[in-house]
Amino acid sequence: MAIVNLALKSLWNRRLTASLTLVAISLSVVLLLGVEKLRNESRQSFANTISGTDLIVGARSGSTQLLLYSVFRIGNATNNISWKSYQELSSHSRVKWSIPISLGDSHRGFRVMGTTAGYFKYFRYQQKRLLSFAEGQPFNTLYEAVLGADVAKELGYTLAQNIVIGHGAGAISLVRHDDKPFSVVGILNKTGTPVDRTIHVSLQAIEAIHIDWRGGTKLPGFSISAERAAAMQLQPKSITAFMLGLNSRLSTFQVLRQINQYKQEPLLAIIPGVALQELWDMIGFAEKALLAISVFVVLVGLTGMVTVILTSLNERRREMAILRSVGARPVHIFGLILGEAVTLTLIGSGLGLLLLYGLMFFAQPLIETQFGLFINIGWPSAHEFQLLAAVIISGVLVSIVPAYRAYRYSLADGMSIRI
Amino acid sequence: MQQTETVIDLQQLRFRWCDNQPWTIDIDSLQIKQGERVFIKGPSGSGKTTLLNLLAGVLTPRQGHCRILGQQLAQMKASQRDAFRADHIGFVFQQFNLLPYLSVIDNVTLALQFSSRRRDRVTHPEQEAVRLLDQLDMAEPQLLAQPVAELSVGQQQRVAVARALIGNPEILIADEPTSSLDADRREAFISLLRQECEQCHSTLIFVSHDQSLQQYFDRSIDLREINGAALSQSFSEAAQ
Amino acid sequence: MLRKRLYKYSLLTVVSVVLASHLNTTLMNQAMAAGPAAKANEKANEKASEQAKELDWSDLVPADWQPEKLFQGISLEGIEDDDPRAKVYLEKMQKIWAEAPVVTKLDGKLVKIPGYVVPLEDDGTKVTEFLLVPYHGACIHEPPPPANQTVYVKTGTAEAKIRKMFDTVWVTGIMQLEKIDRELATSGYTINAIKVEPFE
Repeated sequence: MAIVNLALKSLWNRRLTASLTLVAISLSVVLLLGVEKLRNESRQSFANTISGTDLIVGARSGSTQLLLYSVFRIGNATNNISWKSYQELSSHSRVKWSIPISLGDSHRGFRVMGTTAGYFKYFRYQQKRLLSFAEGQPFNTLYEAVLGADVAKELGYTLAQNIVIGHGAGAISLVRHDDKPFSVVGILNKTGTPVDRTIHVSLQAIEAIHIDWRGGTKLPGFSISAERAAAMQLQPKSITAFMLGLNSRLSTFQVLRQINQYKQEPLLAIIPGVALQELWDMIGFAEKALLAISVFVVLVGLTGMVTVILTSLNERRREMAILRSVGARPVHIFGLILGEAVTLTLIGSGLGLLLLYGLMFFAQPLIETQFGLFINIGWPSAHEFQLLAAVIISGVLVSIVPAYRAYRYSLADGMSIRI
Repeated sequence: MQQTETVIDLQQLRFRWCDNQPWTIDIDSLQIKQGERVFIKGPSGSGKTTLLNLLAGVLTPRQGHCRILGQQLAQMKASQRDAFRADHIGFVFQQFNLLPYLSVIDNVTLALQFSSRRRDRVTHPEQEAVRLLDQLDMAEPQLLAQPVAELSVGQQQRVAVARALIGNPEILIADEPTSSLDADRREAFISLLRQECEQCHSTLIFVSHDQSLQQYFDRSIDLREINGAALSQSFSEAAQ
Repeated sequence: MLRKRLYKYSLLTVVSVVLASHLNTTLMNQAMAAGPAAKANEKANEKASEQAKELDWSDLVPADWQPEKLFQGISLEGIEDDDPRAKVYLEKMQKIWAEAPVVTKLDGKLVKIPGYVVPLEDDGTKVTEFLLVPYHGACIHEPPPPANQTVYVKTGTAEAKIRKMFDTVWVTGIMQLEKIDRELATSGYTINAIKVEPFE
């Protein structure tokens, strides 16, 4: 233990350089563990966004694009699906349930989605979980809205409050539908998916909002009041996409095929599990590259530490000679240098871990807002501990280099103190 | 311990670094008895450093033997020699004796970290350190609290003496301990050193090139006279 | 003196926390895998997979079902993809394949069958439901495999080592027949897998 004490005191004496080394190591550990954690959490979050849905159908585009806008509310559809096609396809004998959705509007930065009451009955996420209400119930009459958990929280909305919905999806709506306010009738529980950041209204409501709009602009002198719109008993004319649940998942291929070959309109049907996997595979290369880079960064950090210790060895030869004179063996000198390096590695890794958690607390809400991904901050996983252990072991191994150097010096120098 | 026990016994001691070089050390015979205070005069080049390393067990003789306290150092393993040195010999060097990252007291007790024998002799290491430092006029609290790098050379040397003597090793070897001190401080230092060695019953071996210090010691040995290698070297130098 | 102790203890604490957590998670995993219930389960699974009847995809098709009869006497060579005759045959074929019958005696049998994975559900760490098909890229090929050449697999708590999409695996489990269409009386194959392993 004498050597450990000496190592610690020696480090404290040179705490300026030691802390710089610590910063290097801890930052590299943050990168490594952060990448790993992000990777796993994103994977989890991705997989949780949709469950129990057999097919998603949209106007013909790329499958990734369809997945992104229909499930993640990222991006936009290039075209719509006619209501007639939806009705025909959803009444197929192999279909058990269907949920049509209509996207394109926004309210203060949150997307507005038109759908049917069936959404709350059939939509599942995270291994077949159903949506649940914290307060209230699904929409019933025309001007009613159901809010996702984050919408209510961030905008401070409560039940029975009135909100106004704008056209287009920007955060600031330059043109508004002032004359048709909606009443909040339900607030959903948090799901950790893009549902939390969505405002749900009926498909008819979307039609009512746009009744006096053509080509994206409100026609001056042509406005229809809220009551009159309600009286018109509007039916949806087109939707953005729809989700299907089949009686048996074995029909998936047949129904998919039929939809893709539908004569009336160019449509695209995707299997969510497959589309998610494809998306993940695309990102997969990037995440592997990121992991490789982080590993290199850790090595750079450790090399920096070794360099610092090696360069300081020359001026510590006197110190080693003193130790030899009081009876320290060359192996003690080895242990001293090794002890210093290992201490730096351990503390650096520990600091890195703490820093990582600090960053995660800070970044979690930001990531959720920007990407719709919910990063769960929990105890480090076994794999993360393994990575940490690998960093520490690497630190110990590279520390052998300067320690051995010191050993050889002390062997050669003996007690001869060179000035 | 007998008064007349031989602590250092060198016989036919020869050492050189490489086989194709002349001997660096070539001493026929040298005995030093317990309690003696010996002045070894050795300018640089006389083999002084090598001799000290041999006495410390850092180097082993090529020929002949070197007995310290009756033990043949050459027959021990390297680790045993290191332990032996820790147990029985205290060192004071010319300067920079102390570890900058230890406190004054920790520097003194450092000697006990590597010697169980000396550690056993001291029941309360820190108290003993303070006691020794007190005898060397170094026990003032503010001095003890100061970082060693801020002490004067004289103060540092005195701390080194305390370290060399804590736990009562049998031998104290001082290599040019006064060469960095002011001329008027040297006498005081040496008398302090003698005093302490007498208290601890240690044998004092004082190596220096400064002939004027010879007077303070019982016995004086000129390394150039006993070291055949130095002799032949100076002959060859004179011849050139 | 106090600082010395402080360093020593904080260092020991850090090291022991790191090691303890790692050890804890490793032990927990091992315990879960080696707990009495899990062990018994594993043993049962081992036994089961040995007793499972290895199937070929042709075993899933009743012996008397021969869609090739449709093409008897007709040469498909010389017919281009957009030839109206090709379209007619394609549609006829699809209809037949959509109504492909199943081998009823496989119901309830412990079987082992190899195939390609088309993932349906994922819980973040493993694929929980997938479709097993006899050839690569089934969902993009024309036409899709007939109903009796697809198996709906649920992995439940079973170990499922699936390396990538369209990975080839062996699925071991009890085969069951499931009704597909609410109008027609067609059924299909499903398996609650007790083991899914890579096909080497």
